[in-house]
Amino acid sequence: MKKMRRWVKQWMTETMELPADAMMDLPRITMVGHLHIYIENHRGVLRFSKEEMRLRLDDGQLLIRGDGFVIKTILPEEILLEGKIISVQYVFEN
Amino acid sequence: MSVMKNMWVNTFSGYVRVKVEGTYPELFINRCGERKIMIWDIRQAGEKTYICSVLLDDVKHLRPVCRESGCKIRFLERHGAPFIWRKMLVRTGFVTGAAAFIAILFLMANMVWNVEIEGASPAVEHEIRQKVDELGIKTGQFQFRLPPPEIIQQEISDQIPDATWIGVTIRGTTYHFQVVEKELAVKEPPEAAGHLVADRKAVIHRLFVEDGSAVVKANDVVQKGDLLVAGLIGKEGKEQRVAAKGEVYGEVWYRAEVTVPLEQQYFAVTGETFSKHKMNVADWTVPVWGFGSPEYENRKDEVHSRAFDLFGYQLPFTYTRETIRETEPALRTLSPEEAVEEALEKGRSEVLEQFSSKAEIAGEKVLHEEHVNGKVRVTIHYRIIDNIARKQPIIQGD
Repeated sequence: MKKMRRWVKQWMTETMELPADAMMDLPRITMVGHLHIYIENHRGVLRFSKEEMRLRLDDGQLLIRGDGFVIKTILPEEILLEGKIISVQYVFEN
Repeated sequence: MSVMKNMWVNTFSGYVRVKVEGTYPELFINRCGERKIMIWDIRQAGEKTYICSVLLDDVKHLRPVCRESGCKIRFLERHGAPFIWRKMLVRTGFVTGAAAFIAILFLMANMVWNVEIEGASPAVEHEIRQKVDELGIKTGQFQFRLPPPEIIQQEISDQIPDATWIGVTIRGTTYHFQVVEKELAVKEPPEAAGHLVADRKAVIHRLFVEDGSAVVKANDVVQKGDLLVAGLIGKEGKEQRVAAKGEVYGEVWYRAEVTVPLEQQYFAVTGETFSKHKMNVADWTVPVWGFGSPEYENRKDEVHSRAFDLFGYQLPFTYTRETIRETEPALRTLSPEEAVEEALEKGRSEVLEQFSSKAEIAGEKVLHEEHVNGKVRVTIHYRIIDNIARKQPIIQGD
């Protein structure tokens, strides 16, 4: 059933040309150089340290590596991270 | 980006830095998010420790979050207006000082510091000053206790009959009174009846009679004491006595002897200068720049002083600039012609000093010149036109 719903959503986005992030609750990531990263639609912090940040997403994790990380702001679905960002990586769980 | 809110607002409501310690401190962050507790500036402080900022209003909601996430919290720093405010309440002296300063500044700015009266004669000024004093406008009075300037203007104008108009304006802390006085035609005091007589022997050049009847005319020769303008007017036998008034210019001869040396020593500046700057505080003199004295054999000192004033009041400071110029003696040799020329020039100013300020030289002539001991002695004859009239009262029964 869940898979079915997901398939319908994906099909709708593709055929009706709707924005993917709004339709499918996908994370939207905005970066300003290597200084800021702004993530919408995250599902919580799994790990946070100076060099690493791991965020839960609907279908996996987002792994950000770098140095001197500071969470400037955090809201239930948004997060603004500051520091020297080296990599942003998707980790699929299924 | 709704996240990018102005954090400066937090400084107003106050916030604290909190140290969060636990086995899984990420849980604390997530729980705060769920409960809509705003936390920001989260950084790692140790292996299992974070430091973050929490709004002062949210601090009381932290306890359940801590329990749920199994974290311990410690407060580190306090920031923002509520804490500053509390600190200020503790430092009463500081606060009362600041408040007193503002209060005093306000009161001083609303005081009368000066009363200026412009355009009035000393007598009227004194009168206005007295009335103004009676109205309470004096140094140290508060402006808000005084009537508005229009009312003052009316009252003062009513009380000073000698003034046509008095304008009152407040310029900051100064009450300014602009006075326009009634101008009455000045009556000259009646002068005693009298004649004008010659005060020396002269040839009349021109005359201007204001009052009285002229007795002489141009080119007349008069002796000292001769009547020039009579103080009697009207028909013969029915004369009226007046004070003769006028100017009678006569040509007077004058002989002057001027000596000019052919060799003249004078001091010329060499261009070498030395400047000294000094500040004077009351009777003390403090050198600011330029110490010691230059070793000039001949020198000429120039001293310029400047006083300082603030808001029209003279301060007890003066600034003095001393310029010392080196000079050297120089010799000037004149030819006999040049010497005569100089003698004439010298003679002119010397002669004019002997006469009134209205005197003028009508002609000059070198009578004689002789050279003795390196000097030129010139005898000059001057024709001078000067006022020769002198008042002489008419003696009663004369």
